[in-house]
Amino acid sequence: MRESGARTWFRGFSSFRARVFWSVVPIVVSFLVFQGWMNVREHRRLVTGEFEKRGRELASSLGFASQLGVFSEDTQRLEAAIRGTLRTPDVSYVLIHSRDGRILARGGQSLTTVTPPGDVVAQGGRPPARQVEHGGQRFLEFVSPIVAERSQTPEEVVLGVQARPKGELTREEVIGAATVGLSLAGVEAQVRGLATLWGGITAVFLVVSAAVLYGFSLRITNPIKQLTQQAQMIAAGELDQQIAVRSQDEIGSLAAAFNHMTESLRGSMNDKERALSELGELNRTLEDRIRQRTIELEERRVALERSLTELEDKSRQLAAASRHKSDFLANVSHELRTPMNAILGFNEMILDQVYGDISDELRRPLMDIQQSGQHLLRLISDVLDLSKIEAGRMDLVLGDYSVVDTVTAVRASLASLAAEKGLEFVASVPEDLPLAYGDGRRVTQCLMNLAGNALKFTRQGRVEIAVDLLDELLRFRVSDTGIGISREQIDKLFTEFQQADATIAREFGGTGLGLSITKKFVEMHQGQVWAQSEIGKGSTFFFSIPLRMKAKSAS
Amino acid sequence: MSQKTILYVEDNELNRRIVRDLLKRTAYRLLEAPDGESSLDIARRELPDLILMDIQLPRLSGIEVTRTLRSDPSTANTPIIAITSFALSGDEQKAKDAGATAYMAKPYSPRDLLALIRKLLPEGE
Repeated sequence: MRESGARTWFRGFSSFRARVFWSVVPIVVSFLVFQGWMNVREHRRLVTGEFEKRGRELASSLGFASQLGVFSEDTQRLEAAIRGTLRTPDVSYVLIHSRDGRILARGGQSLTTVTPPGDVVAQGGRPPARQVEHGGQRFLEFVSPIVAERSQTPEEVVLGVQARPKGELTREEVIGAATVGLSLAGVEAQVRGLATLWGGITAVFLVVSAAVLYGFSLRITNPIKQLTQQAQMIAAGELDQQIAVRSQDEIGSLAAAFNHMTESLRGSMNDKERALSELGELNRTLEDRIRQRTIELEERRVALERSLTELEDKSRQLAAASRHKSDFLANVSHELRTPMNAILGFNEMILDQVYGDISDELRRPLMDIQQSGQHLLRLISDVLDLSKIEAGRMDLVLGDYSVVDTVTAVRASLASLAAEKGLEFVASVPEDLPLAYGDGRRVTQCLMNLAGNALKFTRQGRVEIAVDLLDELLRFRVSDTGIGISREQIDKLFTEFQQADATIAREFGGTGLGLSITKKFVEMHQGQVWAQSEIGKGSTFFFSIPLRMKAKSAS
Repeated sequence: MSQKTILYVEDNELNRRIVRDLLKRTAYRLLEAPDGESSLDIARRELPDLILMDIQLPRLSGIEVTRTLRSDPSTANTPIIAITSFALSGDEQKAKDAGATAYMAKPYSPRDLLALIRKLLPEGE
């Protein structure tokens, strides 16, 4: 409650200032109030003591002065004494009572009621003081007994000196009472004035101390405010601010530390900004480089496209050239056939003695001419076939054919060669084999190639042709007891112009086209060709094609 | 029986000589035509019993001549042996489609050709 009240009171002040104020001011105020109260009390005590002392003296002196007057009851004398007393400051009223309580004389302020002094006995010479009120005014009343000293009693006067009781030098007798009333108004006014003065001092002190405190707290809070503002500015990004460090105290060191922090922050910010600008620069150069690279890439792409176009042109030209080559080969083959036809035709007719009898000596070279011619014709056919296949102009002539006829034809055309080399040449075909569908002449050509090779590469032993049918798949097998082929060579065997060994080509002849052509024809029949072999023990070649191949469109 | 007449259509003189020599000792009478156009005239005039038709002819090809002969009623049933120079490439099929009775791939064996001729057209007697 007090806190929030203070906050309301110190609206606009910092809470720190309020706290300082509220921790110091109450102490100062309570100290001043206590001090003032103590002061006033002491002063009052002193003044009152003085007052009382004066009052007693007045009462005593009045009592003494009134001795004769009371004794003689001489009013005039008494009034004169009273007048003298009344002239004294603060004396409000004076009363003189007789021994029996009658008022012998009075002066000053008239009183409504008069309290009789009672049995007033001087005790140690000090007249008692009492406070009384008359008409709302307060007075301090001092009553002094009026004493008559009798040195001689009447008897002594008459009888002469009589023996006196021992020790009784004088005899005193109270014959009345003198009452002096001092008004307390002066004293009270004095005390009040003092209290007022203290109040004033307190107020002045309060104001001064508040001002001092405010100033002091300003000295503390201003740097803090400044720090706060700077911190906010730094937070807003203004780093070039510096707090003026004035004091050597904690605030000063805080400011110094703050300045240091700002400096290092500025340093790191500068680093960061530098790094950022470097990064930006890098980014720009990177963009430039990317742009450059993009341009280069675009140029390369264009160049690539150009070369691709060129390549396509070249490819087209090449394809055309390849076609021309194939066409050329086909033409050459055709042109070769005409003279070949003449050579073989005439030679055969000579052998058949169409032109008359021939001698046995002549028959032998004529047979050689015939065989070489046939061989040359086969080579020409192979070249033509392969060039047609390469040009994509090879079409199968599909129809029903008899596998038995195929094997028989192959065996018949190669039987003489086998007989010549002294090789056993056998063929086994299931007699109940159904008609196959495909290009019978090509299949025959394939089997002829394999069997021809087997005979070619076998010096002694046997060559066997076998056919079986398994799940609508015709499998042709040609095995020999020839020189054999190594594993690596088998893999290369079916590529064009490949023979296992160059020396083999010299010894056994052949273009090496046979296997390539066989592979292509088998593949055109949706079949496959493979081989097994062992060096020195012989080889077995296989090809398998569907018994009835599915006709693919026109081909 | 009168002598059987065979027309051989072939542009190459050497090849014509083979067949000429081949048939010299037989009972067949041989007529020769060096090109398609003249072969059509001879065929219509002479009405041979058998025609040997080379497919590769200059200008008018053997296929076209065969087709024309087949469309002519006078020669529609005359046996025609097509001699295909390409033993492959579907020439045989084309020849068959055009109406050839049989075919013989070039280079042919004269022996085999004579056998085929005798099979299609018995020599007589």
